Amino acid sequence: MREEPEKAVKKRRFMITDIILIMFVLAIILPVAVMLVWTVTERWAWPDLWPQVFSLRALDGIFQRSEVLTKLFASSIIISSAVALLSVAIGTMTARALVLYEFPGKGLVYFLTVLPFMVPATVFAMGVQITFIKLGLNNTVAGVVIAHLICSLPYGVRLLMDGTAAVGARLEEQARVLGASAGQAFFRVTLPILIPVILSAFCMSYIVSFSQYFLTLLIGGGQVKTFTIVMVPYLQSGDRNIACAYSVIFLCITLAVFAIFEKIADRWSRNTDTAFYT
Amino acid sequence: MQRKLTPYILLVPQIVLTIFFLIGLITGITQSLGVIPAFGLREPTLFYYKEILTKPDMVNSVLYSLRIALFSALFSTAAGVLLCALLVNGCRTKGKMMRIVQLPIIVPHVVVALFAINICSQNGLLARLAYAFGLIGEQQQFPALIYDAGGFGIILAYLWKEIPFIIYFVIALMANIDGKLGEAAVNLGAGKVQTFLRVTLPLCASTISSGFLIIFVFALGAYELPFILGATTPKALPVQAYIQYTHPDLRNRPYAMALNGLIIVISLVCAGLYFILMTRSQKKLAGKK
Amino acid sequence: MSLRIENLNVAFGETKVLHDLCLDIADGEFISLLGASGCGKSTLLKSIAGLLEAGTGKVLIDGKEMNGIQPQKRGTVIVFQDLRLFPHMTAGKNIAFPMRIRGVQKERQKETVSRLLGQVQLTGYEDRKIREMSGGQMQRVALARALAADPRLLLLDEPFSGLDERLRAEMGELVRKLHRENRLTTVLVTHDKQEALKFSDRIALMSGGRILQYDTPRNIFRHPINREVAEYFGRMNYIRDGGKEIWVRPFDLRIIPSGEDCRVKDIVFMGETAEVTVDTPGGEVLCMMTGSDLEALGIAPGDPVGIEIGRKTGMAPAEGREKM
Repeated sequence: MREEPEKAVKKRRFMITDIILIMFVLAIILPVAVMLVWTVTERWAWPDLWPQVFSLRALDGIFQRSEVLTKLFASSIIISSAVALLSVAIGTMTARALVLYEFPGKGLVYFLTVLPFMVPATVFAMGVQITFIKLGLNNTVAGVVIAHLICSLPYGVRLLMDGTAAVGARLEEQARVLGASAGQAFFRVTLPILIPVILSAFCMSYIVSFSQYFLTLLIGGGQVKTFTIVMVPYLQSGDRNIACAYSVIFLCITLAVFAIFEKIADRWSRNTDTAFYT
Repeated sequence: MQRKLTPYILLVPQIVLTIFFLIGLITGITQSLGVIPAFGLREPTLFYYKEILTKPDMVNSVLYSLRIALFSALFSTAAGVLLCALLVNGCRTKGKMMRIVQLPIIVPHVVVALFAINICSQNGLLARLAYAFGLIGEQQQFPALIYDAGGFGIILAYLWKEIPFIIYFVIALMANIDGKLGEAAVNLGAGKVQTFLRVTLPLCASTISSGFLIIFVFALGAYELPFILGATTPKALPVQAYIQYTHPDLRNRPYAMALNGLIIVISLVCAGLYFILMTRSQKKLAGKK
Repeated sequence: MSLRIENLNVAFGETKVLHDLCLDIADGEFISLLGASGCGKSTLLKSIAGLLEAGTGKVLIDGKEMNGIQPQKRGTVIVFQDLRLFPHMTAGKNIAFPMRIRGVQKERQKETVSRLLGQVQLTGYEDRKIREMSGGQMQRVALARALAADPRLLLLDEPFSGLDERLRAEMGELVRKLHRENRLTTVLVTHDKQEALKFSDRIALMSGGRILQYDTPRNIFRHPINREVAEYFGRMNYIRDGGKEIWVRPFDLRIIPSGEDCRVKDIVFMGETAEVTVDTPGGEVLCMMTGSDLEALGIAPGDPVGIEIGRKTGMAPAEGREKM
C-alpha cells in the first residue's frame, strides 16, 4: 500500500522531466520549422499564425539565377571544404608532434595552438588585415582560406589529438619492426584507424569556416562571396523569403554531406574494428 | 638526430599559421597603444584606452557587450547543465535526442539571427501568438525583443545556439562519471539529486567552467548577432570597433584597436583560466580513476 | 644471425635505464633476458630493434654496426607483450602485413599466411577479426605475423604474460618448436625463471639496467656469481663452516635421522615437495625434499636430526662479494 504514493511521485517527476525535454526539443526545432514555412510563403501578414499564400517564388528566384547560385555554391562550399581539408591535414601533423614527441617548447606550442579558441575572430581579423593587404592576400580566396584555417584549426587539432593519443605510437612501432618505413607505418596503420576521427574533425572545421561572417567580410573584402556574405544583406533588407530559402538550401547541403560522412565513418569502424579508438 | 627534428618538421604549417595569428594580435595591441608609423603615430600611449573607458558611447558599448556575454554564458551554462543532467538521468545521451542537440551547432550565427527575426520580432511568431491569445491588441504592443537596447534578442539567439553546445561539451564526461561513481554513491545511501550535487557536479565543474569561458569570450567578441540584431545605440564592442576601424578618418583606428585590446585582455585572462581549468580537470579525473 | 652489444647506455632524461651493457648472442641461439619489471629488458629490446635512438654504445648485427639504421632495415622483429595486432585488419591481413610491405606476390602471400597459420595451429582463421579472437589465439597470430616478416632476430617481449598457466606452457612449447624448426636466433624477455631455465641456451639476468650474469641455465643455477643471482633462481642456505661460508641449495641438504646436534624446527608439506626448517649450531637451514622422502624419514618438529651437505653451490663467496 505504501508503494502507491511513491510511485505517483516518481511518475510525476518523470512527467516534469519529459515536459522540460520536450519543450527544449520544440525550442530547437520551432525556428527551423518556421524557416521551412517561410521558404514557401508568398504572403504571411500580421497577425495570422499561418501564411495566407504559399508559393515557390523564393526558391524559383534562386534557382532561376542558377549561375549565381552555382557560383556561390562553388565558392562557399569549396572554400569551406578546402579549409576543412587543410585543417585535417595540418591538424594531424600538429597532433602527432604534440602527442607522440617530447621536445623543448611543447607547452608553448600547445598553448598557441588552442589560443584562437579564446581570442575572437573579429579582433584577429582587424589586426591581421594590414598584413594580408601587404602580402596581396586580401580580397582573395587564398586569403580567406588562410584566415578561416587559423580559426578552425584549433578544433581540428583538439579532436585529432584525442584520436592520436588513443591510437598511440604502439602500433606504428610494431609496423616498423615488421619492416614498414615511418611513412608506411603511418599511412597503413594509424591513418585507417583515425578515419572516423578525421571525418569528425573535417565536419567541425567545415562548420567553423562555413559560419564565418566577419572574417570573410574583412579579408574577402566583399569580393569573395560565401553563404554568410550573401545572406546578411537579405537579412538587413528584410527579404525573409530569400534569406530563408538560401539558408534551407545550404543547411541541407551541409547536413547531406555530414550524413554521408557519418555513414562512411560508421561503416568504416564497423568493418575495421576501429570503434574502440573513436 | 632525425627523430629529434621530426616534431619540428610536423609543426611547420601550424607554426606558420600561428605566426599569422600572432601578427594579428600584436598589430592590434601596438595600434591600440597608438603606434601606427604609417599614419605618423609613433609614441606609445594609453590615451585611447582612457578615452574608450570614459567616453559615454564607448563605455556603453563595453557595458552592453559585457552584459550580453555574461548573461548568454551564464544562462546557457546553467540551462545546459540542467538539461544535461536530465538527459543523463533519463539515459538519453545517445540517439535521436543527441542528434537534435547537435543541430544548433551546425547552424551558422547568421542563420540564427534569421531565426531570431522570424520568431522574436514584432512581426514574428511570438508576437502573433501573443495576439492570438489576446495578450496584445497591436503589433507595437509586443515588447521589442530585437533591435532593443537591452540585447534581449541577441541573448536569446545565443541561448539557442549555446545551450546545446554546453550539453555537447559536458554530456560525455557527465554520463561517464554518473555511470561509474553515481552507482557507488547511491549504494552508500545518497539520493539521486544529492549524488548529482555532491559527486557528479563537482567532478564536472572544471569542464563546465571552461564551457562558460568559451561562450563568454565568444559572445563578447562575435560580430554577427549584435550587428544584425543589435540596437542603434548602444553598439556592441566588436560593432563599435569595426565602425571606428572603417572610419574615413584613419586616426580613429587606434580607438578600434583599443576596443579590440580590451577584448584581447579579457579573452587572454579567460584563456589563462581555461588552461588552468583544463589541466586541473585532467589531474582530478586521473586521480579518481 | 649473431648479435653483439657493446657498452650500451640509455637514459631517459635524468634516469639511466641501461648502464654500459654488453651482450653476445651467437647465430641460432635461444637467449632469455630475465629480470624484474623495470630492470631495462624492454628498453634493451627496443634499442636492438632501433625503436630507441637515445643513448651511446654499439649494436652489431652479424658484425655490422646498426647505429643510424632504421628499424625496418634491421631484420629484428619484436612480439610485444600487448601483442599490438592491427585492429582494422583480419588475422590473415595482420600476418600478410610484412609481406605486403615488401611487395610479395599476392599468391605467395596467401600461401605463406596459411602455412604460418598452420604452424601456430590456427588453420582456417584467415578471415577472423581480431576482436573475435581469444587471448591465446591473438598470441599465435602475433607470433605468426612476426615470422612472416622473415626475421633475422626474433625478440619476444614477455608475450605470454597475459595467459593462464596452461596456455603459457603451450605457447612456450610452440615457441621452442618454431625456434628449432626455423633455426631463428631468438631473445625471450621474461620475468619467469622457470620459463627461462626451460627454453634457453643461455640466460642473461638483468637488474637495474645491468646484466648481472650471462650463462647457461645450469651454470647460472649452479654457479651464481653473487647472492642476488643465486636467490633469483631459488632459495639458498649460507652455512658458516669455520671461517668460510658455503652456499647450499635446499635440495642439496640431506637430513639424517640419527644426528644429535640439530633439531627440526618446522615442517611444511606441499604434496610433491616438502620443506623442513632445521636449527643447527651454524644457524637455521632450509632443507627441501620430495613429499615421499619426508614420509619415509618420519620426523616431527622437535626431533633431533643430523644434516649432511650434498653438493655445494657457487664460487668462493669472497669472489662473489667482490662483484656486488
